[in-house]
Amino acid sequence: MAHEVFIPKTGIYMDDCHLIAWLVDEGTTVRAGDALFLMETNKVEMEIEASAGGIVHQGAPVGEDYPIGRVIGWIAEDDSEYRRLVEEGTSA
Amino acid sequence: MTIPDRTLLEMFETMMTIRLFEERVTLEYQRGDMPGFVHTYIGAEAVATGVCAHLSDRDLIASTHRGHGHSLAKGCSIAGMLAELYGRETGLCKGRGGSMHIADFEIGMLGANAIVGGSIGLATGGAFAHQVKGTPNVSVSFFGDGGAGQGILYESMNLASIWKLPVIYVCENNGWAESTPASYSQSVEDLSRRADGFGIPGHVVDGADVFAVYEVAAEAIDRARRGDGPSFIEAKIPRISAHYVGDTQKYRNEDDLADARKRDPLERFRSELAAAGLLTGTAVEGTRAAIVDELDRGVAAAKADPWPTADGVTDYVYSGAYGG
Repeated sequence: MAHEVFIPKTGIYMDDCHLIAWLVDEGTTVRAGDALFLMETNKVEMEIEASAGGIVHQGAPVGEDYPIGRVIGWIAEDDSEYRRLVEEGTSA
Repeated sequence: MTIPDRTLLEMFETMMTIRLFEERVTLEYQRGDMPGFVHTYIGAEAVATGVCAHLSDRDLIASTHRGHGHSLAKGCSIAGMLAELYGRETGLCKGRGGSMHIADFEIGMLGANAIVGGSIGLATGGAFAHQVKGTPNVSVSFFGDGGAGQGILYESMNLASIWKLPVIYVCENNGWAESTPASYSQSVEDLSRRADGFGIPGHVVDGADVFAVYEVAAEAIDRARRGDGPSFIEAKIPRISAHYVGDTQKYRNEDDLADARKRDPLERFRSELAAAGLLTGTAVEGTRAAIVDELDRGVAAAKADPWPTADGVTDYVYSGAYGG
């Protein structure tokens, strides 16, 4: 099953979060721990790492604000799962 | 020292429980449902496990802000801890404490502690209580290399040495006091050398090696139970997890983190047990599945459990109110 990529809580005082950039292209294969996206909250920019290895499907546009926990993409475990995500036009 | 097979397998299960608990808590915290701050014990599992394997419910421990591992190794329930982390009335401290204040006096867990070095006076006092009562029990203080910078450690070690208190000071040295490297802020590389100034035996041990921790803890705890006084154990541990969940560790270079990951105590113990023929891949997966199941149930139950209510805000503030 695809792993959800979501906006993580990173501290006690955290409001909505601004998605600045995806750090890998759509369809890129990543390993757990690779830098995945860049977000900004409370005036701090931070790189968020992939929680699992697999193929990245982006599900949310950059330049927008998102709440904690919002799913913004997926990491598919294999090609067929990735294709299914793309074909379904899955977006957050 | 020969460690019984059953003890080894119990320690493996404890270490794996701590690891999976912390990974799950990290995920649930990031989802946004858990209040407060969370500091995980990933990378240090062998220390709490190797020490607490020698302790009974009547022995005492006092812990740190990074206290989940000590709590689990001492026997706190997963469900009670999860409910506490979610701030629910069903938590070990009725939801009033959270991650950094988990305590369970019934099993000798005096508490996690948000005050750096806060365990030291508590555990020393606990050891004094054992001595006054004449019970054959010990008291263990866990703290970090940052905590070793607190003056109370040196006042306590002096008293403990003079009075031969049954206390063991366990310094988990991961090389970082939050974001300050020990090489910058500590006068000596081996903090255990300082124990010598108080006439206390000091030991350095590889904190990623549960066999070594178990052995040195046995020696220190036996000494304390005999009435011969305190010991100081410095366990050098890899800092695999960040200071807190959400800490991006920009102050740390990549090699340092990669080196820490290579010292993973759980993977090391698993491969040692497998090589000794004590653990199969199937057994590992079985243990993992059972723990994950307990975590699943604990998280679901905690999220459904009631919050403390406003009219109970003064409950348990005074000792007489606690337990009637």
